Amino acid sequence: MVGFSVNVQKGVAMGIDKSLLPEKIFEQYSTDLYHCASCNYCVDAVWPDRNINHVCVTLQHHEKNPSYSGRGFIEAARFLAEGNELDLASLAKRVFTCTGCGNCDTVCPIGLRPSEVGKALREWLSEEGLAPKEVVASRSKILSDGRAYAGSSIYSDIKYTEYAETDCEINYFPGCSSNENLLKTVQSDLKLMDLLRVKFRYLDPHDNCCGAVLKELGEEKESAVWAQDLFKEDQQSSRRNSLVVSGYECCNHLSNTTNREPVSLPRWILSRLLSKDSSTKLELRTKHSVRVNLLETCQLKKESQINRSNPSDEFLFREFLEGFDIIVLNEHYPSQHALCCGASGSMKAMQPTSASVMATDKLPTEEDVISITLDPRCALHYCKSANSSNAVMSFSTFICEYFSISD
Amino acid sequence: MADKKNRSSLLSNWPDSPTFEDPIDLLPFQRDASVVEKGFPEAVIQPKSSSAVGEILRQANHDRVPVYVRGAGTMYAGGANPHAGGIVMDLSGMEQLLEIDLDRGIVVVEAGTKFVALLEALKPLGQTVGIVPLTGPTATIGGAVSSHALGTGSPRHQSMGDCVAGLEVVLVDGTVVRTGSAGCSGAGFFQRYCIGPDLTGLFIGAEATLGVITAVCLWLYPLPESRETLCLGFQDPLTASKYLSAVQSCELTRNMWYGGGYESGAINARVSAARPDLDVGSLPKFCVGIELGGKQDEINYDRARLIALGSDYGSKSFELFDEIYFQKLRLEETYWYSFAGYFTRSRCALLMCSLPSNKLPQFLNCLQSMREKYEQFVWGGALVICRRGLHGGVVTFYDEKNQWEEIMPAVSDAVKQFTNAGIVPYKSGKIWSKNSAHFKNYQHLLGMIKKGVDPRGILSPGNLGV
Ligand SMILES: Cc1cc2nc3c(=O)[nH]c(=O)nc-3n(C[C@H](O)[C@H](O)[C@H](O)COP(=O)(O)OP(=O)(O)OC[C@H]3O[C@@H](n4cnc5c(N)ncnc54)[C@H](O)[C@@H]3O)c2cc1C
Ligand code: SF4
Ligand code: SF4
Repeated sequence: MVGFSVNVQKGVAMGIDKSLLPEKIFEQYSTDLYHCASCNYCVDAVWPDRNINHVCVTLQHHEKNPSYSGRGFIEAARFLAEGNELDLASLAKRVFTCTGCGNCDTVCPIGLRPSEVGKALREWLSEEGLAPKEVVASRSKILSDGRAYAGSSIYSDIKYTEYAETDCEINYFPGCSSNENLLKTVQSDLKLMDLLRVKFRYLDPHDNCCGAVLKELGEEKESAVWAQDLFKEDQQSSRRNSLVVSGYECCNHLSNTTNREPVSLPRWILSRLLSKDSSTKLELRTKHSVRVNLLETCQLKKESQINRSNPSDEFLFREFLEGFDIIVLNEHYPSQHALCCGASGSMKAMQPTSASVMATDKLPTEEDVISITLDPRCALHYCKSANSSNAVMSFSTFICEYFSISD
Repeated sequence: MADKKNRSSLLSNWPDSPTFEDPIDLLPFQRDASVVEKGFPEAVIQPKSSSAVGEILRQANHDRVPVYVRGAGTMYAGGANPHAGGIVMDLSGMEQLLEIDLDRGIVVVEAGTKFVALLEALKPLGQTVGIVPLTGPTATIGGAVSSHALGTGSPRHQSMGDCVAGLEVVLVDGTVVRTGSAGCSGAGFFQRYCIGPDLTGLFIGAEATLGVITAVCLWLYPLPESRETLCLGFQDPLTASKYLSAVQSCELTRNMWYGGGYESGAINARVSAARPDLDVGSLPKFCVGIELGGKQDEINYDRARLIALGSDYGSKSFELFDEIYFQKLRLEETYWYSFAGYFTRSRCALLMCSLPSNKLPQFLNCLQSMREKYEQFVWGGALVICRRGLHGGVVTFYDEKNQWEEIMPAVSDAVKQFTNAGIVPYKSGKIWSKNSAHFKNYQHLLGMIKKGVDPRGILSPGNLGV
């Protein structure tokens, strides 16, 4: 522990001695703790130029209480750093009721990292055995199953062409959300790859979790070990095929923990479809125009390697749709920020009801609108949460169902 | 003040108003964006209607529990910091748009409505409101009315108060009162000055000492068809101040959406960051930045007149400053710059004051003397052009980890220096109130009013020195 004593009345650091915050957190985040201007942007803001209409989905749909926000995490960390006691169970409840969407980081006008402070607090509380019981249960289940999602792997049951390592262009990792509960998506992903004649090798026949979900549950170290174990073979692959991954949280995690720079499946497929050299012809099957609601993925807005790709995956998708008689209802897609659908981080484990509300709130009420997401993890969560007849499809299912594809 | 038992009965009574008492939930309510010390609330209540506000106030008054009111907490004067403990009433959840009446030219919103949310709702109607602070994405209309907001619109209207047609206010006894024409039941909001004295004005800038504002009626104005910027460089602040007085006296501010004044230090810092190769010695010593908004022909006409008048005072167009800073500030990233510009370096203390345009040199002299006396801080100055006079801002960057003990005495000293120079506090909160000897009779009247409307002194004790 770092120590520095405080004048509690003034609440500001004066010397060294009594901090209740681990030294490593203080050292890494002291600028965030002491530079925060209490401007409230990360709590709630409306800023159309940046397409922001509220910032923190937890406050929006769980509890309008700033202690659940990025600023709340900073205030709590600083309070502890200044030697004040705080009920750590209350702190744990708040920092784990977070989607890890990172909106609070990207909206901060002075570049502070409140969501990272939250993540550091989660890790610390986990190490101290103070993670909430819901999180512990969810984590234990993943640790024993090796997977974050219920539902067994289906790749062994589906017909698809697999190539020898030496022949293929990509190593493909679908992630553990792509299981029997997401059958259509899995089938569509593979169908598109087949149609586009992508020669791929399917990584990890057991569909184990790459650790991304564990990380958000406070198991930072273990999550990195999982990623490295899972990708040992891939990392040693002499041919260095591109690594294509379907989930964005997995993409972010793998890029942070392995020596690979994964490409997302939507990017890979959409780039091919949009390529000038492509001989693939696509035609809309319906005679009527199709109305779509494009669901944004918060993991695509975070500061990360995949997000530095230009144009962004969501932009590519919009560009792809533009050539057809498709009416995109959300004018601002893609925007700089998106409220999480509730699938991310420890939100589902901690607050399943709020997590469902977060999803349903993003779905339109009109019957004839198709909602489309690029991320299979979100697709799974939407499908489980939505009780309307509205369809939520992955981008690949949408393409397979609404287009005829030929050479 | 109340004992614990009273407080728990006070807190358990409001099923429709979320209440937080867990110490961790109180941390974000201890302070606003200012350097003023934190306070320690015992609970936070988030009422959702004026009747709920009324019931809570009545009970708090009965139990003698202090009540502080908070919008977004972005003010820099500590008004929302609960120094006497008690309750923080967080109104940020009261954000309904209650009425838009284009015939009457008014909009009525709940006090917790954020500026930009309102602007977005008005945009499709081709309408806007008079004053918008740079903190528009987060700041609430109620907070802005209570703390004399200024900024965009100040050259045309002066201050937030000049754009308010009436208020809905809840008093400590729970009475919900509407001011202006709406004070007459069935008449609704349209006129500020009727019936008797300006009771609306009583609550403007009152920082929650006299009542809790639950709804605000603002005048509507047409959105400008075009907006453009213009920067003029001057040889010294004195000539610039004469120019500004001339502009104001011939009402050339009528199409000015924003006007800012930049002293030499600010000019040099911005130019050398953008063009490190340039010799700052040759730059103007003062810059007036103007954003014009309106119909294109009106803009063209006013622009030509502003430039022509400027040449009488030896000013030249300062395109470089316009290009590297002012245009971006005004036309592209207003809200971004407001924070990044102030805080990227460190946290800062903000002190706002009011001065007649011809006191600009004195303002800058005071600033310079602070720079010399307190070299450990970086001092910046900013000026906002008003319909009459100027608002001056003093920004003091400090390191909260290591300089906390030193910052408040320096700010208090600055307050003394400015008041001694005849420069008036603006947005008082708790910062200026510590130096209230200069406003003795004013405070006497304020004290009498306070005693009349809040005899037990439960509303924001400490704010405005009452
Ligand atoms: C970087 C920065 C830039 C700024 N730029 C500007 C600017 O350009 N122009 C400007 O005017 N200000 C500016 N401010 C100050 C501040 O943002 C504004 O004054 C804003 O309008 C305050 O609104 P709020 O909701 O945050 O109020 P709060 O900080 O929550 O409250 C301000 C005061 O009003 C009282 N109050 C709040 N709501 C009510 C209510 N409903 N009824 C009665 N009393 C109430 C509070 O008790 C407090 O005393 C700036 C601040 C910062 C930090
Ligand atoms: S990461 Fe997202 S959910 Fe978590 S506090 Fe920040 S904005 Fe809220
Ligand atoms: S947005 Fe940044 S500066 Fe503002 S309150 Fe949040 S962390 Fe602090």
